[in-house]
Amino acid sequence: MSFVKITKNYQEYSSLILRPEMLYISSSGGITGSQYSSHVRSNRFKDFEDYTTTAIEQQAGSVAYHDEEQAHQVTEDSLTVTNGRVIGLLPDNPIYLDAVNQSPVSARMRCQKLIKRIEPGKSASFTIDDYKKNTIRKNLNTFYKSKYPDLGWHYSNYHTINFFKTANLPNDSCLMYANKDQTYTPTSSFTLSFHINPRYDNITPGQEFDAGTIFHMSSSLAVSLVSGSRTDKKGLVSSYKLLLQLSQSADTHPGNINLSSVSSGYPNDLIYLSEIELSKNTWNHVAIRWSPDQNNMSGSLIINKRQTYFHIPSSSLMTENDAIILGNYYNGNSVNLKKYFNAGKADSRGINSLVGTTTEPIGQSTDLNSPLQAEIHNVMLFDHYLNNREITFISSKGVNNRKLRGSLLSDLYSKLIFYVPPYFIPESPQRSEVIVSPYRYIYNENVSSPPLKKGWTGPFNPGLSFSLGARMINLENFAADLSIPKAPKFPRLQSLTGSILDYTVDGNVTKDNYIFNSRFSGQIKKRNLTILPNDNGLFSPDYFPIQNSYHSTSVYYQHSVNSFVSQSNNGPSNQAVFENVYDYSKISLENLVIFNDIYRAGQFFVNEAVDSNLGIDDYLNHHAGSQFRQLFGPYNNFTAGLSRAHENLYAIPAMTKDISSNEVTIFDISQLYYGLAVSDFSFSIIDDNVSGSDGKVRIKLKDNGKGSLYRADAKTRHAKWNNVGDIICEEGIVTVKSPHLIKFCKDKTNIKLKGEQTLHTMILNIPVLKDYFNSSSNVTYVNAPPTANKNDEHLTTKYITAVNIHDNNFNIIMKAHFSQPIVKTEEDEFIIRLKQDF
Amino acid sequence: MATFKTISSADIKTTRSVLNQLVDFIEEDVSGSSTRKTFQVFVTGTNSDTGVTSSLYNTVFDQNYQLQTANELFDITVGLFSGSNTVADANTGVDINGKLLFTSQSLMMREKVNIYRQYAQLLLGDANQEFKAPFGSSQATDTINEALFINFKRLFVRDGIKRETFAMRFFQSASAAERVEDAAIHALGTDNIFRGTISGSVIFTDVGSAVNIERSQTGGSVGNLVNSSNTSETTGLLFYQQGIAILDLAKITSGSQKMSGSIAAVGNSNSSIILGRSGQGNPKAKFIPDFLVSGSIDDIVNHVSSVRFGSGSQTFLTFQNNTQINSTLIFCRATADEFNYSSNPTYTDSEGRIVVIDESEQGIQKSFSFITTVGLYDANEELLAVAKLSRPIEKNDEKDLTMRVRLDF
Repeated sequence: MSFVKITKNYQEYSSLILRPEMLYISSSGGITGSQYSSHVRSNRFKDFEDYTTTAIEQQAGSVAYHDEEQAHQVTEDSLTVTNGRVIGLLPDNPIYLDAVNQSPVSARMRCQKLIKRIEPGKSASFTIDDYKKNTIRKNLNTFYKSKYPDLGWHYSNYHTINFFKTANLPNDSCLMYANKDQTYTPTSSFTLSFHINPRYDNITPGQEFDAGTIFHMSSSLAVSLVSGSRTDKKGLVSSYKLLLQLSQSADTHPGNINLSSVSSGYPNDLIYLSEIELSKNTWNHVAIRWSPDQNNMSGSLIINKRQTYFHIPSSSLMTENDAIILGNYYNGNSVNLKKYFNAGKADSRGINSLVGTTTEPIGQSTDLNSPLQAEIHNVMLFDHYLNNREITFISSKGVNNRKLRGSLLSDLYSKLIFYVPPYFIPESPQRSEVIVSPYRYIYNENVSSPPLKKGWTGPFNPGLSFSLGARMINLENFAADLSIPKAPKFPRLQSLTGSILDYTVDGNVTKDNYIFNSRFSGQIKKRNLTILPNDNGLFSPDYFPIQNSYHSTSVYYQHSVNSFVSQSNNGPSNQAVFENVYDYSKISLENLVIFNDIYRAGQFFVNEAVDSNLGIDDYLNHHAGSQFRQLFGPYNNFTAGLSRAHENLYAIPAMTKDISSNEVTIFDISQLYYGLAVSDFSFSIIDDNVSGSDGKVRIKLKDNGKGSLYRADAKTRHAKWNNVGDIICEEGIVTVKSPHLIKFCKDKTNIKLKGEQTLHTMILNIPVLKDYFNSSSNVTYVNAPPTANKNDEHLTTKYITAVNIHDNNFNIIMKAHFSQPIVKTEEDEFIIRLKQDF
Repeated sequence: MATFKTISSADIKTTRSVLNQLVDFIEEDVSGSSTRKTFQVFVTGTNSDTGVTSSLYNTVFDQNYQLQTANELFDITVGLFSGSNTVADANTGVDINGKLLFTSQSLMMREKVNIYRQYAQLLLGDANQEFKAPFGSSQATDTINEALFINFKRLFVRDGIKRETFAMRFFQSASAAERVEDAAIHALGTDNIFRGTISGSVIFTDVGSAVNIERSQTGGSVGNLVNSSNTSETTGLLFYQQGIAILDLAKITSGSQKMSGSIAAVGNSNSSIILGRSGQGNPKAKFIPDFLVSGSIDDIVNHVSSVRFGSGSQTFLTFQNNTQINSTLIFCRATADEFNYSSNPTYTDSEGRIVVIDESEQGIQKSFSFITTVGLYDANEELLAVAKLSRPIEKNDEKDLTMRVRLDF
């Protein structure tokens, strides 16, 4: 044995960052990829007592639950008592081995840490989920704001209009814009522009992919999506074409057109099929233009800058018509079409009236039977033939009122007659049927100055959200035609509105039953999925219409730039402390309702003195004049009737003192899954079957390396700036904030990420010089030469089997054993390299 | 946040406690071929046979050892004391280098002797010394000449085996051999080397070791393994800190039992020796010495593992381990006037302003805080450890708090 001082010259240090990949899938079929609390596990470790079947787990209501602290306590307690099992038995007792065998496998070995999915604010009581939400919203978001600038309780104002078709949902759904006073009818020249992503296929190989109409003006213009020539390896449609019908040919149902020979004699002589095919799940820009003054009355169908030309010798292709229909084809007559905009619906839904009667049109499901299956956005109709430069501009930048180089127009916006981006605006039509609870409408009134229509102002229905914990998207606030920024025009939401229930017929419903299992669920589910986050990275929206609307200073666009000032729940008075920064690309999810003073503790009004022994139900039952009756609105049997719900008093904020959005989904990922942090750009989460979509809508979110989650479904470039959620990599906290992602990953959670773990390595080079390590103090040491050869007989042999590392006080702090002994003689000299990772 | 207070040495205490785990090894772990891994590093042979390969020991796992999640439970092997009759009877001399020579009917004798010597070196400090059970006995009859070694892995032993918790079920007899030799016991024609035993088990334990504490100079504390039905019958040793059990095969088995079957061998074209059959090989072979001398280590370990421990889902071996927990207790005291204010940016009043106490209003305006976290710093104000409270504790000038921070390592 010898001692050698290991100076710094013999030490090497290096560090590595490891990024292991992790896949976690949780569904009703089981969980894969879950992490155990103990990194080394063996079911050969047993517990002295079966702690997991005690009240600890029963309270948690989860088999996988394991409370480390309590279990440890029970262990210690058990060690002090003789409980008739292993403890207290001596090993010579005949039942000792049997008792061990019957003991449960150690709870510590079985304990798994699952990824927790949290939906806060779903009950009228303050829960740990509400606490977690506000810890993220107030504390973590504030703390990490400097690293992730887009953190906050908001989401991006960049969406698509999603049309899809399933057997269980209404297929006549579409957006119908009344063409009152022919404001939507171009005078002669026109340009129609939109972006489209054909995401959906025919599901079953060989099954027909039905033509779906994107845009329809009767007797003027119809554009439909039809199947192309390619199929994928599963035999499903993977390419599409556009079918263009002009003038009188637009009155032929696209399903009746033979795609192998689209154009025939009058009236079907103005039908064109695009030469260019659109690939499945890609974003494409489409422009259709025609002018009697251009190239001898020629026009073109442009897809991603590639043109299909057509020539129509006519002075105009447009005739007077009644409506623009997005997402379906109207297959009826003009008289019936006007009835969709009857006076009754004008009152109840706040749309323009075209006829004075209140009669609803008959045969709606047959009138509208060519539903689109695709996502579209930025639908623009110009009363002008745009040149190539102008089309190139609007395909990537949208439209504004600035002079464009290469354009003869002073600005493009002045020629815009129809424009559905869709943008969120804090305004919806004045109407008598504003749903405030599953049982009640309220009537909203206009605001005279500025002349706003004020239905629900937020992105989702606050009455349902804050009283019932249910989610209904305010589709009216997204679907407006913004061609005139200060006078948005709202469509008839055909089969997309839902309706209230009759308490005496339907009984008391739960939140999920109203949305997913009631008489009107089909419409509500489709309504909720009509607006989806946009993943088109080929386009950058211009928020000119909002900036020039009456909403330019709305609280929904107001965002704090001072990260040290929390956005208070105390209502508008506190907003004065914010910097007045307006960002129209973000929709605030703070302060969604007025914080009513009645929410404050101690201010509940009751008829009688407060009795601490009474619960909420007691007040509801016995204290007739209590404001609890209104406050707890539609949440329970007692207030389910029409007169009980209140549009400004909600149960959940009363309990949580929180008026920010609860329509979020939070994923709490344990550090066991990622180590020090989730690696940037590595996180993705998939919902294969968004709730209510019958398996048609699939959403994938990825992180952009700056703390934002964006939608990443398309095969073309993604809009990585489009924030639909946040990820705080250091904390493993993922917040999906976009309310359009209904019950995100409720049935199946599919998360993939890479963790980050630093591995430090220390290498000690131990010099074994020839004059060292030449004796052994082992009692069995025999002084023998390495071989029997003459030239070795003067040498002695040592077998080095281990190295001990000592500190300055000669305490052994590390040991290394060799897999086999190393031979050392007086002539040998070498270096032993010890490597320690930590 | 961030009120600092120096903690004196009087408020720092260290303690040590012991945590126990119960370890349960199942019969099928050791009997199954998928859970017992061999390492066939020994190779021998002649021109007239196909040779023999064998391990020096087997490792038993808690599940199929090809799975990544499998854990090693223990190693198992056999050894022979160089001074035993078993070795002496088979020994034919010593070569010029001191190497022991053995008869051609033997196999791996030098390996068996060296394994014994290696354990003696490790546990007794002298490779030439013999193990005796009871430990420290001077009686020649207490020498363990034929030893079964079981090394429990550190994952299960941790800081040591707890005394008086060890128990092992063992079948002293194999099944009966061929009628020719054991006519009164069993039907004709069954080999018993690798056929499971169904009755006749005993339990060996270390009961009484908590009273009679023995220590080896190099092996640490030692206990005697005894027959639970006759605790005066000492059958082996248990080294608690090393996690090694040594069992005397002569005492835990019926050594004179006839063995029948075929085992690997060199020197004949069959590459095997037939034991226990009339007119073939060694018809009167006994467990000791014939099987231990003629069998390879794999054959012997395989016989012991698959026959003597059972093969069901019952426990065949158990013990409890010790894990020492060193704890530092740090008492963080907040007197009435301390920690009543916070510099947290969210420490604001109802109007969103940072709470301040006006100098002239100190007697009237009183602040309070909610303590959520204790940070422990070194002398250079570097944060060393953070303790989070399960829930915030309100602190005001009418409260005197002591938070006990415990660090286990």
